[in-house]
Amino acid sequence: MLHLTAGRVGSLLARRATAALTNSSVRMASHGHDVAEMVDMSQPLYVDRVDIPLPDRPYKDTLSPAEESLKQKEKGPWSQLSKEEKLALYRLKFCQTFPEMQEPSAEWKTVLGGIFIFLGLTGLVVWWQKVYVYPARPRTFDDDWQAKQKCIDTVCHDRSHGLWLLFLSFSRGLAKNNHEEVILLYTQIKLEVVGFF
Amino acid sequence: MALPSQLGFQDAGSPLMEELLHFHDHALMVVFLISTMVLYIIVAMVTAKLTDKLVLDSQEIEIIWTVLPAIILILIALPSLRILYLMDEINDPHLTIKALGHQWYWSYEYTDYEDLGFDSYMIPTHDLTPGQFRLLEADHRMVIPTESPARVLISAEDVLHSWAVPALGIKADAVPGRLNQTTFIVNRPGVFYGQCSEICGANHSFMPIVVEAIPLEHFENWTSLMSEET
Repeated sequence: MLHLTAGRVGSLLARRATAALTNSSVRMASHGHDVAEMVDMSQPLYVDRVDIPLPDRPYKDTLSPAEESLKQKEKGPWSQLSKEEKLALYRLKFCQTFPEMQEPSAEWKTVLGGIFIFLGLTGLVVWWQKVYVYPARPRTFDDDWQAKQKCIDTVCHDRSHGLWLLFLSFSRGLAKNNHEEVILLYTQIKLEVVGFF
Repeated sequence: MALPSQLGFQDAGSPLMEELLHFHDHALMVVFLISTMVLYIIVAMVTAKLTDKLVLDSQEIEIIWTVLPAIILILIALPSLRILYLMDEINDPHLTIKALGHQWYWSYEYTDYEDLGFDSYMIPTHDLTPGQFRLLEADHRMVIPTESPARVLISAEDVLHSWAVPALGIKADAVPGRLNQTTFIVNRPGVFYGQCSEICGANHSFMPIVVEAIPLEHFENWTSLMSEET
């Protein structure tokens, strides 16, 4: 039988109190875990942001004696401050200037490079599919088959193909509605083109 | 039929399809305008140098972006309802045809004057003559006279099918045990293709519909020919 003696209760309560009063990251850190740096959000913070032009506190809080004397000088007329002093005062109050905050980075190169790499890999996969997976193209895609497809007033095969045919028939002086002549012309041109390639 | 890599509708073969084309142009233009405006706003917000963090409300813009969409919706709804009611108008068809879906072919019955019925199977790719359309040609076409209101009664003998001809703006489910009716007028002579539009088994993609519209005098020749054949 376990008796909860006064001593045991005391030590239990002490452990509970320690757990309540320290925060979990301190306990984790003391037990060998890596813990991120904690920011106390209840205190005024300094941030370099374009939409917070005047942060809640100055950048440098604790000042050396030289900096203290400069701050005293700032309380007088500013025309007596030299250029270097003005710059030093700025750097006491702020970490980065606006141009420094808005400096472009080279991140876009990494992003674009990554995109191209994946596009290239996709291209490899597509090419492999074309060679090893797809069945043969049906014979209805052949040029002479498509040339024979007749539609009233429209060209039935690929629009760009049809436009090319129309252009050729115009340039060789044939009426565009004359399908038979166009088919003959097309076969003739195809032989010429195939010869070229 | 649809051309390769065609994105838009096929040329209309019936007055209803013409109406649908024009309505689609109107609705799509509204969509493009709204999308362009949204895209512009997104780009403007993303590229803005300064941010106003203290905006709480604005009654004026809230009113605008409530009233303007309501107006746009009305402008879309009015033509849409007009076409909806147009489809249901009384039109006294001259011809009634029954289109029955089977696995995996269509059969057409012209029983107004005499018993004419035939099956319409897809022509397999290896049987096509050069120039025919792959997966779209059928051995017997459903022939219709031009400029005559026609009624098609659609049903099925086994499983669900759907009788669709996009160029005429027609699609109606073929339900076993049920008769669905659709009426249309074909404006011009021509051949109009469609495909079965309800999954019906292994050869669902291989039971096309071909409607051939010819002038009335030739239609009578065709019916005599078909009657002799069957």
